Amino acid sequence: MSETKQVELTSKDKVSFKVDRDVILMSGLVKDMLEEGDEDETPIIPIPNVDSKPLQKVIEYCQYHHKEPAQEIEKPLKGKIEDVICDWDKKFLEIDQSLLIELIMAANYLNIKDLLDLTCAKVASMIKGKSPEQIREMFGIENDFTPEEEAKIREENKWCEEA
Amino acid sequence: MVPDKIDLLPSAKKQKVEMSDDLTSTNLAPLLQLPSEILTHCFEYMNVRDLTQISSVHSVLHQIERSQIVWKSKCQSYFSLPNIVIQDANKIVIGSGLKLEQLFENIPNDCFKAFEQEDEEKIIRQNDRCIVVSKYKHYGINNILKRWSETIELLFTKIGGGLEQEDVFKLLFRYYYEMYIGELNIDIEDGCKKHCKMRKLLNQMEVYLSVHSPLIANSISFSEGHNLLDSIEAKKIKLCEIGTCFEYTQLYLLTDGQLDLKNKNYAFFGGYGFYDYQARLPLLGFDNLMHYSEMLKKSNNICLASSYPIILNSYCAVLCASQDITDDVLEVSIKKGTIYQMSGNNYPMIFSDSFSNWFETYVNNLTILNLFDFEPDGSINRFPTKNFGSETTTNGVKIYCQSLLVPELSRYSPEEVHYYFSYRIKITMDKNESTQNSCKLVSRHWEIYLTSDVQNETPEVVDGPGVVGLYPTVTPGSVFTYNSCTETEEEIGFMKGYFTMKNLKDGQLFNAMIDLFSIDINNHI
Repeated sequence: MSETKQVELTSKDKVSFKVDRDVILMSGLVKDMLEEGDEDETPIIPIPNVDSKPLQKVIEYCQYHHKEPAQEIEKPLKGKIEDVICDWDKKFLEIDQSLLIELIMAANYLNIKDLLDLTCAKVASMIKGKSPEQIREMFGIENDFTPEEEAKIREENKWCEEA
Repeated sequence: MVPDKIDLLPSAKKQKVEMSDDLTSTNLAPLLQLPSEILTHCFEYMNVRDLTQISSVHSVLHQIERSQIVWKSKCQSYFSLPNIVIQDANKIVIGSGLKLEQLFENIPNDCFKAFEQEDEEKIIRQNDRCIVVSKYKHYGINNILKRWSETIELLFTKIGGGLEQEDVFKLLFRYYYEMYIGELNIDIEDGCKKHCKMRKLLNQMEVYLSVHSPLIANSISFSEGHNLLDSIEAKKIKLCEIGTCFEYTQLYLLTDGQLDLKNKNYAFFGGYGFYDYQARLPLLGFDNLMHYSEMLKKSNNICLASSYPIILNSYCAVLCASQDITDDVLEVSIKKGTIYQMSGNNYPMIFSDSFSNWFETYVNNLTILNLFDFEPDGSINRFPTKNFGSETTTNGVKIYCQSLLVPELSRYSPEEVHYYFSYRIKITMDKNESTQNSCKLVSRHWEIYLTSDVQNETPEVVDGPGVVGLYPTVTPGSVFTYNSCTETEEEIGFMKGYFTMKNLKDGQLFNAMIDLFSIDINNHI
């Protein structure tokens, strides 16, 4: 049996990660780049948009899920995301918000659909049942509406809260 | 259903270009710096209530929330609407990529004719504003799609303005919500789910019937297009006054029932009969529903006065309680929403805890389990074909037996329980059998067990010449069916026996056996 082929990823902050080739093939971007390259050596792939911290998480995700494909997440979520994902994913999502956002960006850039679904659904789950004020506070968003504008938008959306 | 390709809004594209690699380079909160197609993706996991909340958080979110892509996806996930593509300011294309799961709660069995596909999608309806495409050959599915598209087209007309406006799908969603769910005192998530379920069950029925009994399929008045928009508000108010449950209300917002059903054999819920008793069970026309509801309200019987009709005619009364009914004198206690049928002595026999369960059971029994046969004239025979009966073959003579409880002829009250069962016997011979096996029925022998304990009880034995006064001849390809009845005080009993047959060739007598079949109160309408 031949040795497991590896790939070296270099993050934006110049940290290198050696990963098994079939693990990182979960990334559509890496897959596309590898198909063009030579298969005999350990290719070095720069990931200039992703810092080492989120990249580390991405690799962790791929290492687990390349053999355990994730279940599709329902749209819309009926309850919290934790109700519909596996224990490993639950643990994986125990991260702070800024890392979560970076992870979304990384999943998008690296083209890993299941990870993008998971992280986007997590954002939706965080927002679930919250008021606009609570959402702003949670994500550190400054209200850029005038009180009149905001009242108008709420009025426009009143119809679906009447029941 | 989310379209394969996500088209970005012009504004969103611009925002993406402005995005820099570094999230901290602007003052916007990190969440707001996510590209709009990612935020759109997040929104797909949000329910409609959360979506409208997030809209008033910040202008970036507001702009994405209103977008076509977000609400198109919600139209599909909440109302199971077909794919709608806005081609230009005045034209929509409906139906491309339609999947059977969008149409049916369960894919009806035995409908391959309806599911045959063209190599590519063809236009099945077209005018200046609207093109409807389908890959299906059979009219069954295409009829549903055509009617559906009429409503969608009219709603787009109602929205007015160019179809390129951003919130056109949000408005479409809102119209659908207001037509079917709004003012019915139900949560939006729950309401949409139940609405879709009723729509899909009806589709399931229609397509199955369009293959097996087009006359029944055509006798249902579906409410779509002008027919729907002109009448839906008034219908909703009337149904609310009666106090119908949400799913029943949906049934009558989606249809007008079997209006003007000339030939009662084409009853939606089928029929059954024996001797000269022929019960037919149509889906009440909306006008009759209103009329009978008024009549019931005036009744002296507390059950009738607190119920609305599901099936009601001179044969039987299947009703739904519009409130809790308790009467200590009559010893009646029924929860709101219960489906029951009036027994022959006006006492309710409870069949189901809810209309939705009762309706779904019937639809699935017919379309998935194929539990009921179609008669040669296209009517549905409510004697169950399998699971509840027996099938025995002797010398090529095949005998099928099924039984059915007839509540309206049963006497059922706290003082007295006397069930009335009908049973159907079908005697056939395969057309490939040898004519050597042709024979004539001489006499019948029945052993009736009025108990579930067949092993230890002695049956009641009935012997007699012929069946229902006839001596049918059984030849290759022949079918002879007769129905009869029996009465019992037990909830479950069994019958078995044989017919003595005389071979037409050699005059030999032999017994064509009839295996045990149940007479069970669970076999009912």
